[in-house]
Amino acid sequence: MLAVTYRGAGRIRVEQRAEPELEHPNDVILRVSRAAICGSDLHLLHGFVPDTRVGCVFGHEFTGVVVDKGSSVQTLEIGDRVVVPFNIACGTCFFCTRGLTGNCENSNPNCSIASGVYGYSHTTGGYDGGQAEFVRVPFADVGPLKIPDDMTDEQVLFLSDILPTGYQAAEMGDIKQGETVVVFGCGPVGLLAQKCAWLLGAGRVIAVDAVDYRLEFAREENHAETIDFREVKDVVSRIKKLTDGRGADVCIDAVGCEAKGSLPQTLIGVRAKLMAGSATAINWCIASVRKGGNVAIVGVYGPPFNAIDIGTAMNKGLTLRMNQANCRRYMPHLLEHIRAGRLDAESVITHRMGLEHAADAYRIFDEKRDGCIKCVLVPPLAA
Amino acid sequence: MNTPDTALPQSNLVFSPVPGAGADSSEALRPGVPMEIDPPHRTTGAHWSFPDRQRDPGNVLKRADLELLTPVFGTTLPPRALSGAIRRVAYRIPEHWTSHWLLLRVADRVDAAEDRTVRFLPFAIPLILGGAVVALTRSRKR
Repeated sequence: MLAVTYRGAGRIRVEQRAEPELEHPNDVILRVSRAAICGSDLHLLHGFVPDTRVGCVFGHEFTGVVVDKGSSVQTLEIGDRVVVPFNIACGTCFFCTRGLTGNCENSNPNCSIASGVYGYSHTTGGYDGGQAEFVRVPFADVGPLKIPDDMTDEQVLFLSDILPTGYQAAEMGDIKQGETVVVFGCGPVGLLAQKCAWLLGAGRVIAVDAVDYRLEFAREENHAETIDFREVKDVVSRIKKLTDGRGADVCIDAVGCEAKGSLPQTLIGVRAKLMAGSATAINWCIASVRKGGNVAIVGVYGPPFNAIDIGTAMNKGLTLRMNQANCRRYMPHLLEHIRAGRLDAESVITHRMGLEHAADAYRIFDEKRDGCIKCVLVPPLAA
Repeated sequence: MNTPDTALPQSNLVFSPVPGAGADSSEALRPGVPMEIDPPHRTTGAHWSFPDRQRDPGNVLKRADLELLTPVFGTTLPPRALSGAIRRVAYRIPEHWTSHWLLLRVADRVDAAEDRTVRFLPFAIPLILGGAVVALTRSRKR
């Protein structure tokens, strides 16, 4: 089968790989119908996630059709169309039973800080991902959600990751009616977090980025006020000026470990990789939120450590909340929002390309060319 | 798709040009509130107390504090060559030690170098042999 594989930092290749097999009674094999490239795939591509082995098949946002199933699978049949959450969860461990499926302790033997994740290095369990023609899906009775007959794959594709992630970010911000929410980052997760902030009752949404066309999307599609941090002397002062000098009620980091905007963080964390990337977005959140405010972090950071201004957070009495999205918990709820027209996650798709052109798709997405916000890969068998 | 839902209770809506604004303003409507479900219960679809275990192929690395592999895991790309040896050392060190992660990063670089070496070997060997033959011929002519 055709698959997108990692060949070392900055290099991927589309090549032939052996098709996956059932390895557990509750596995299914999917023929992938759509696979998206996530911003966090770029962190992987750029070598920020330890134990990313050469040959790793990328992709944790995908839909597909069940073509084979294990002996204990009860909820799915051959031919079912499903969307799959990026985290692999058993459904019965200490964390899953508390709703924290993103922290499942039964799917990742390599590292206790994360659950198993498709196509995201051996630090998250060493599973192959969905940027391929076929993919193995463990715990098939727990994760995958059947796609209703009246909905297309692309309408629900982002239930796999970026929509629950954006929603959980807004939710962790504990937004009260009328509050001011600042979202750092206008990538796909940031843009959806802005939509979700309105859904949760924000009175004002401010988006921060440095990419013109993405800020325009935030302005036009999400009705957010925007700040291009390249064009202001100091983004934190600008936000405080816009919020009576106190700061925003809620700040969301939807950027992650490759944030620009601080030369020392970029040089030490991103270029020299002496830390786990740049913590600029977190520090801007901490500085821009009002005393007693909430900071929600959904940008991806890997181990071992970052340079975070925890002293300011402590003295301001902030609440910092963060996690990988517990996708399964949000999928049915967000599906109804999509169906009712309250959320249109599909609107962030700007590029659809054949799986065989994945290397070009990664380049366009990485370099933010051609107005790219979100790339969806279409395998030859689904074209 | 972007049509406002008129079925929403009016009390939940705030004035906004955004479809559905305020639809989830009540905490009771937010699926992740509270973040930890109390009392705990199985996720929908799980029909086991503890999941069956996937067969251990014998070449999957696990973290230092884990006695058995988790019930499921990825089996592709077992550790190999020098990078694999470094990974084996790294996985003997607990993950809260920085050295665990630094060794894995070193292994990643070595892995990429090994891949490039293997890839270019079919071209490099004839070049090296050819160069050696030319050098030998020239030295004999002298």
